Parts: sequence; structure tokens; C-alpha cells
Amino acid sequence: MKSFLGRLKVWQQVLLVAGLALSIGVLLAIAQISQLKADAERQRKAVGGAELIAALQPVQLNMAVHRGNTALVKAGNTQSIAAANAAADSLETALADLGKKEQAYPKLAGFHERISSAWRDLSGRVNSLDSATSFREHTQLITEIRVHMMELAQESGLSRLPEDDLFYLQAGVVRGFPATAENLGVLRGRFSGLAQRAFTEQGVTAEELAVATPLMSEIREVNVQLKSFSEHAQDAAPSLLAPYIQGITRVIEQTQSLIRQTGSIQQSLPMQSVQGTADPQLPRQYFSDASDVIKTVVAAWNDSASLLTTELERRASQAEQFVMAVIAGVVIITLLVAWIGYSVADLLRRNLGAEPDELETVARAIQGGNLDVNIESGSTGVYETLREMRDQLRDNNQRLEEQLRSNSRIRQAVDNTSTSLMIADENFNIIYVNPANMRVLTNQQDAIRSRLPEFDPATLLGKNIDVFHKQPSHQRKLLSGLSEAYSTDLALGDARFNLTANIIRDEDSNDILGYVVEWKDQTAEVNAREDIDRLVRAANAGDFSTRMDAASKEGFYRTLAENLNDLVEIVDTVTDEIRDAMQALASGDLSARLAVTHKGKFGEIADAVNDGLGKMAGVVNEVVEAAESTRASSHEISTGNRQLSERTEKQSSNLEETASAVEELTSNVRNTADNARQADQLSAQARDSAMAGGEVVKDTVNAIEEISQSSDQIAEIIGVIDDIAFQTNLLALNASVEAARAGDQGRGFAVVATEVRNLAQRSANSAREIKDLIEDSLKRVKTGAELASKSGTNLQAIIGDVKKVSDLISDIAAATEEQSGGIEEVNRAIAELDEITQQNAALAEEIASASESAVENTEMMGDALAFFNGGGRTMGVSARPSALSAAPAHRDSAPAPVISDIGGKSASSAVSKSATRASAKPSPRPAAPDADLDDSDDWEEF
Amino acid sequence: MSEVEDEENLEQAAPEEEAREYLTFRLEGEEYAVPIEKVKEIRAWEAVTRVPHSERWECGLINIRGAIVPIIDMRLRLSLPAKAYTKHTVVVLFSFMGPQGKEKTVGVVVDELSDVVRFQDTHIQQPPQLSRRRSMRFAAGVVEHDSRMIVLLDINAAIAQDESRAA
Repeated sequence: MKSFLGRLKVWQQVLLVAGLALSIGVLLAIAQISQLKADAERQRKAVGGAELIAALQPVQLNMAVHRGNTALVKAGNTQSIAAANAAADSLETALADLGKKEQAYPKLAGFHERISSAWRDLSGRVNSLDSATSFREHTQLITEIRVHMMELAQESGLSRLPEDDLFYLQAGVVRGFPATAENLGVLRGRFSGLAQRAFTEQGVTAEELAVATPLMSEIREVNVQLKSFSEHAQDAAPSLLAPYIQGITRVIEQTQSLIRQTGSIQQSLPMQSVQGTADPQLPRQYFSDASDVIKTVVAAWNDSASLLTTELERRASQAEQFVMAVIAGVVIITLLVAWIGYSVADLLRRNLGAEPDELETVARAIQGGNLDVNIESGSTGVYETLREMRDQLRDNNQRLEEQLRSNSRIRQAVDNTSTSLMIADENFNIIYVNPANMRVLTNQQDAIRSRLPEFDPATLLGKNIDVFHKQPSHQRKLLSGLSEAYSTDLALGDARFNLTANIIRDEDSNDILGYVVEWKDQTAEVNAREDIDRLVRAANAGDFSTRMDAASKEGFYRTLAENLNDLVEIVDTVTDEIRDAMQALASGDLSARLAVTHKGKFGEIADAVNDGLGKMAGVVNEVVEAAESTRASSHEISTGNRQLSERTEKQSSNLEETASAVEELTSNVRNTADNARQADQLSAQARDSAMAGGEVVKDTVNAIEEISQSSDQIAEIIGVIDDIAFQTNLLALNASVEAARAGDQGRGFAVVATEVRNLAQRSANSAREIKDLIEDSLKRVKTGAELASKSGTNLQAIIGDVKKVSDLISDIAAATEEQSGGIEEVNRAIAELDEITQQNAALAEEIASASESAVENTEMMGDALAFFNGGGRTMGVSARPSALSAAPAHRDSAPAPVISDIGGKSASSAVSKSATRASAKPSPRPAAPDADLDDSDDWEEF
Repeated sequence: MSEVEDEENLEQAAPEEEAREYLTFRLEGEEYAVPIEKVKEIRAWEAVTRVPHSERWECGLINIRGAIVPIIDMRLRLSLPAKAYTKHTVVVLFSFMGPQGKEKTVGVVVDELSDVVRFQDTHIQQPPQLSRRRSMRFAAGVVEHDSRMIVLLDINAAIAQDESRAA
């Protein structure tokens, strides 16, 4: 049970409790309502009973009236027939009314049927019955009606009504008034009948009249009951039941008065009857009086019955309305309770935002430091507040962690920095010395101790900053008054420090949190500065021999001193080398060089100087070589010119031979042209012959076709012959048939017919053979025609070929003509060639004089270059100046005649060539030294 | 009986046994013979007038000198394959006595006529009973002549079939 409740959510628990409470209330209400509803139904049923009883009343009364009037009629009073009939009609009406009423209350129905049938039975028989029987039967019916009234009261619960007032009311209505009315009715009928007899011959006796006595006793008895009802009603509800009580009182009064009247008639009538003094109107009067009393009873009865009905109706309606009101109230209360339960649950759910278990889990997780616990957003109440709290805590944690990391970074940075730092608190107590500062102080501790003997870097932490100062108060004032970084130099013995102090302030309150002092050890720096000063000053004066004392220094300053020494050393060396090289260059020596081991700018200078010197030497060497090669070239050109002249000569003679050969070619070509013309004529003849052959073949083919046509005609004729043979055969056969029919007389004829048939068959066979032969010859003719046609085709081909040959020969003739013209052109070209050869000779002369001046220039260049000593080959240019100058002198005389012939005609080229050859021969000397050059391939291309 | 009598008998018998003449014709390569005295005339094929609702083998009618003569195709009559008619196709007219004692003429189309032969009746042999060849349908007998087999056609049967149907 507990676990079941635990599984439910809070709002569900609330709803469950509310629902349980509600259902109990509803169950109780339903029980109450059903009780009330039963009451209402009971009263409703009682209303039915009362109404039916009220409807029975006129039945009973009319029955009684009918009974009385019938009795009167039977007794001889004919006046009463109309009244009896009227009573019967009223009775019928009352019965119909009862039937209608019964339909409204089916549970109490059934009596109408019974009483109606009984009444019909009685009314059918009434005329035939004697007075007593009629009376008895009427009374019986009325008794049944009365009994039924009481049954109705029983069935409808009228007799069991719990309310006192209504109980006594119904008692009168159901029992008192009906009984009284009936008893009065019986009395009225009996007594008035007896009284009537007093006026007949029969008469009436006192004994007979005494029959009314028990009836009267009964009436009195009922009166007592009514009286008792009235008294009870008076106690229960005097005002409500006032008409009832009054009615009872009236009934009792009148009843008693009637009883008294009856009593006196009982005593007086027999006597009067005998005496004859009786009033004849007495029975009628009595009847009327009794009827009045009965009317009073009926009126009271009616009033009471309607009062009962009305009151019952009112109370039933009230009860029903009360039931409806109760149901409505229950429903409203149920809805109200449900709404309140839902509101409470909803309020709880919204205030909590989640189930208490879940809230507890989350709260415990946050308490345990688990800030990543899964909390869904979008909820309300405590749950949402928890989520916000968790988020805030998480943000705070993240900020703290970041701050811690940042502080740690800074601490690491300060620890590892090379800047030496010391931090003091606001009371100037040293709280932090970073490793760099510790190194500085340890290095200089000996120097510091010379001033502050107590100083020990190892115990510095926690001491007051005053240990460094002779006048701490000044120091303190100075520091606490700082607004920005304060820098100062501090000399402790031989040690020199530069201190930079600053205040650490709180970011928010601006209070002093402590001081930070940066220590710089400047002892070595000061020493080094002086050395460098000395060195640089000497270097500025051009003295590179000064050096720094590197051995006495350490760290940066030692490196600095060594490097400066190296620098001065290198500059010294390089300047010395450059000086030596320039001195050598001035004396014309191009071989001097700088050492190439220098680096950087010095290396570049050395390389540049070396390159300059080297390139200068190279240029000088190249110039010398060029001069040499120029000289050799000039010499070669001179030699070449001579060769050129000789060749030009050879060319001339070759041209001559070419001219004669061309002439022979011309005559050959002309012969060829003649032959070609003849061949052309012959081919034309051959073509004509072939064409003639073609015509013949055509004729042949035509002839063969005619033969073929003739053969066809022959074949037709033979067909006719064949037909004739067939017909003849038929005739012969017919003849044979006739002969056979003729018997012996036809025998001779049969022989003839047989012969004729044989002949016909033979002619048919011959015709067939001829036909075969003709067909054969037709085939052959056809073959001949094809052959002829083929040879015609071949001849046509021959004609075409011959024509082509003829055309080709014509082409050859034309080509030969063109060749003749071409050869003429060749002749002209040869003449031009001759002219060009002359011009070549003139050009050779010009080149010779140019080469001479080139040789002279080369010699002058050689003289100029003799100054330099390039370190390579010595200048050989001027070694053979005489040989070069001698060669052109010889050449001057040789080419001259060639130039003079340039303007001459091509026809005289042979003469000029021979002149060239003649002039070349007298100068054999220059040819001898250049014999080997003559074989060189270069000159062949010239 | 003496030999002389025998000789005489033989000589006497010879005229009795004198050979009869037969007209022979060819159908689908086979040779058939009919007695020549039954032949009335031999004619070349000429166009016929077709008759509606006739038998397959009935070619039609022709007019010969005023007489209407029915023509039948013996090939079709013997249920042999049909052959186109040429100008050498021959029609043989047979005459015989009709039921009313009236001479009737019927033309029979054959491939070609071959000959008029003679042989004695004693040379005629019964047609082979077992043969179901179509050419033997109306065979009255078989004759061997000049080493050829000739079917002796019962022309009456061949034509009478037609007559009975016509009646």
C-alpha cells in the first residue's frame, strides 16, 4: 500500500484522497436520496389511493341512492322511479370517472372492472327482484366498494402514513365517512320502506321497526370513532384539518338528531298506524331528512377527501422537489470538492515543480557537488528554483576555476621569468622572491655582505625590506607615497643594482596590498661600458690594434668583448689585404689577389676586388688573343683571294663546255619533235581503220538478226505442218473407226487409213525434227550475234585506245617544242653566269686591300697590350709583323686585270679567263706557304 | 480327232478368233484400249459449254452437227491429277444405246491417241484383283501387246456411271 502510494505523484495522491472522501459523501448522499425518493414515491402512491377513494365515493353514494329509490319503488312509491333512474345514470357516470382515474394509477387498478360488471348484472336484474333481495344485493355491492376503499388505503400506503394529521384525516375519509354514509343510507332505505308500509294494509309493527336499532348503534359506534379521529386531528394539526374537524362535528350532530328522530318514529308510528293518524308524508319526509344528513356526511366526506388529496399532492411534490434539490446539491458539492481537489493538486504540483523524491534526489546531488545532474528546464516552483540554483553554482565554480588557472599561470610566469622580482606585503615584509632574484642576490652576496654583514639570501623570505637600508623610515615613506613606478640605483659594496619599485593595490578598494620591486644587477654592465668606450674611440681614430680584456668578464659582456675584438681583427686584416692588392695593380701586376676566407661584407669586398682583378686580366688576355686571330685571319683572306681568282677562271671554261652541250641537246630535241609528228599521223590512220572494222561488225550483227527472224518464221510454218499432221492423224483414225464399223467392206479402206495415219505420223515426226534443227540453228545464230557484238565492243575499245595514243604523241610533240624554248633560256642563263663571275673577281680585289689595313691595326693593338702582365700567355702578336706586311704587296699586282674586265661582254669571258690565268702564274711565291690552307674545307664554301 | 481336223479346226477357228481392233490412248503415261466399233468419232479439243452443279469430271457440253454431246474428262473420271488442255488434246466420241433404245453419244477427253491395235480376245487377261490402282478402276482386262501393257477399259462402265447418275 505504501509503495503504491509512493509510486503515485503528489497531485495524484491529493486527488485520490479527495476522490475517496467525495465518493463516501456521494454514496451517503445516494443512500439518503434513495430514502427520500422512496418517501416521495410512497406519498405519490398515497395520492393515487386517495384519488381513487375519492372517485369511489360517488359510486357508493349513487349506489346507495339507487338502492333507496329502488326500495321505494318496490314498496309502491312510483314517484321514486325517476329518482332511481337518475341515480343509475349518475352511478354510470361515477363508474366511468373511476375507470379514467384507475388508468392513471395502473398499480391500483382492477376494481373498476369488477364493480362495473357487478353493477351491470344487478341493474339488469333489478326489476325482477323483490325488494329485500334488491336491497341486499345493492348493500352487498356497497359493502364491496367500502371494503375496496380500505384495501386501497392499505395498498396505497394511505393507512400507514407516518404523519399523524394525514393518518387521522385518511381514517375519516376511508373508514368513518363511508361507514356513516352507508349506515345512514341503509337506515334511510330500510326505515323509510318500513314507514311506507305503515300506510298500506299490511301495516307495520314496532318489532319490525326495531330493525333500525342495531343500525343506529352501529352509526353511533362509527360516530365515536369519528369523534376520536377528530380529537386526534385537533391535536395534530388543528388549523390544517379545521374543515375536517368541523365536518365531523356537523356529521355527529346531524346523525344524532336523525337517530333521535328515528327513535321517536319507532315508538310513535305503529300506534299512529293503527289509529290512522300517521302522517302519510312521513316516509317521504324521513327519507328526505336522512338524505339531508347523508348529504352533510357526503359534503364533509368530499371536503375531507379533497383536503387529503390536496395535502398529499402538496407533500408529494414537496418531497420530490426536495429530492431534486438534494441531488442538485450533491452534484454541486461533488463538483466543488473535485474542483478544490484539482486546485490543491495543481497548486502543489506547480509549487513543487516535480515529485518530492525527485526534488530530494536533485537536492542531494547538488549538495554532493554533482552540478551536472539532469534537471529539465521549463518547470516551475521548487524544481525550477533548484535548477536556477544549480546553474548559478555551476557558473560560480567555472569562474573560480578560471580565476585559479589564471592566477596559476601568472605565478608560473613570474617564477620562470628572467626578470628578478621581490614582493613585499603592506608591512614591507618580504613574502616572495622569484628564482631570478634569488640568483642575482646569491651572485652578489659577497659584495652585499661587505656593506650589510648580516645579509643572507637563503633567509631573506619573511624578513623586513628594511634589511637593505640604513634609513628604513625614509624608504618606507618613499614607497608608500608612490603613484607610479619608481626607479633607482643602489650600490652595495662593489655591487650595483637598479631597482624599480611599484605598489600593488586592491582593484576595488584601492587599498595597498603590497609592493613589488624589480632587481637588476648592473655590476658587470658598468665595467664593460668603460672597456667598449676605449676600444671604439681607438677604432674611430683608425687604430685597429686596440683590444678589450675579455678574460675578466662574464656572460653577455664577455661575449660582447670577444665579438668586438674579432670585429676589429677582421677589419684590420681586410684593410691590409686591400692595400697590398691595389699596390700590385698600380705596378701592372694583375695576378695579386685577396684572401677569400672572409665572411659577409668583407667576403663580398674581397670577392669584388678579386673579380675585378681577374676580369681585368681576362679582358687583357682576350684582347691579346683577338689581335692574334685577327692577324691570322687577314693573312688567310689574302690567300683566299688568290684562290678565288683561279676558280673564277675555271668556271669560265666550264661555262663554255656547257654551251656546246646545250646546242647538241637542241638538235636532238628537234629530231624528237619530228618523230612525234609522224607517230601522230600514223595513229590517226590506225583509228580510221578500226572505225571501219566497227561498221562491218555492226552490219554482221544486223544480218544475223535477220537470219534469226527467218528461222522463227520457218518454225511457225513447221508448227502449221505439225498441226496438219495431227489433223491428218485424226482423220486417219476416224477413217480407221469408220472402216472398222464397215466390217469386211471397210477392210481395204482400213488399210488405206492406216497408211495415211503412218504418213501423218511420219510428217509429224519430220516436222518435229525440222523444228529441233531450226531451234538448234537459232541458238547458234544467237551465239554468232553475241560474238559479233562482242568484237564490235572490242573494236570500239581499240578505237578509244588508238585515240589516246594519238593524243599522247601530240603531247610529246608539244613538249619537245617547249624543250627547245627551255634550252634557249639555259643559254641566256649561262651568259649571265659569266657576267657574275667577272663581278666576283672585282670583289676579291677589294677584300685584299681591306685585309691589309686590318693587319696594320692588329700590330698597333699588340704594342698597347705589351704593358700588362696578365699572368697568362705573353703577347705574341708582334712576333711576325714583316711576313704579314709582305703578302699583300704581291697580291696587289695579280687581281688588277680581272677588275678591268668587269664591264666586258659575256662573249669575251673566255678571253678574260685566260688573262686571269696568265696573271696568276707569275706569282708562285705566295701560293707556296698557303698550300696547306688550300685543303681547308672552309674555303671550298667561299 | 485327227490332226487334220485339228488343223482345220485351227483354220476354222482362226477367223472366229480373228483379232478385234482397238483404239488405244494414253492417260498419265498409261495406255488404255477401247474396242474401235464403240468409237463414233475422234475430234480435237474445242471449247465446251459448262453446266452448273455438274460432277467434277464433267467438262461440259458441245454441239456436234446439231446434237448436244456431254464431254467427260477420263483423267478426272479415274481420279487422276488434272492436266491442262492443249490443241493436241483429243476428244473421243463414243456411241451406245441408251435406256430408251435411243443412240447416245458421249465425248471422252484423253491425253493423246496412240494407235489402232489388233489382238485376239484370248490374249485378254483378267485385271489384277488386288490392285487398287486408280487406272484399274474401270479395267475390263489387261493385254500385253508389243511388250506394252494395255488396260482394256470398260467404257460402258465408265460412262454408264454417269448415265445412271443423270437418270
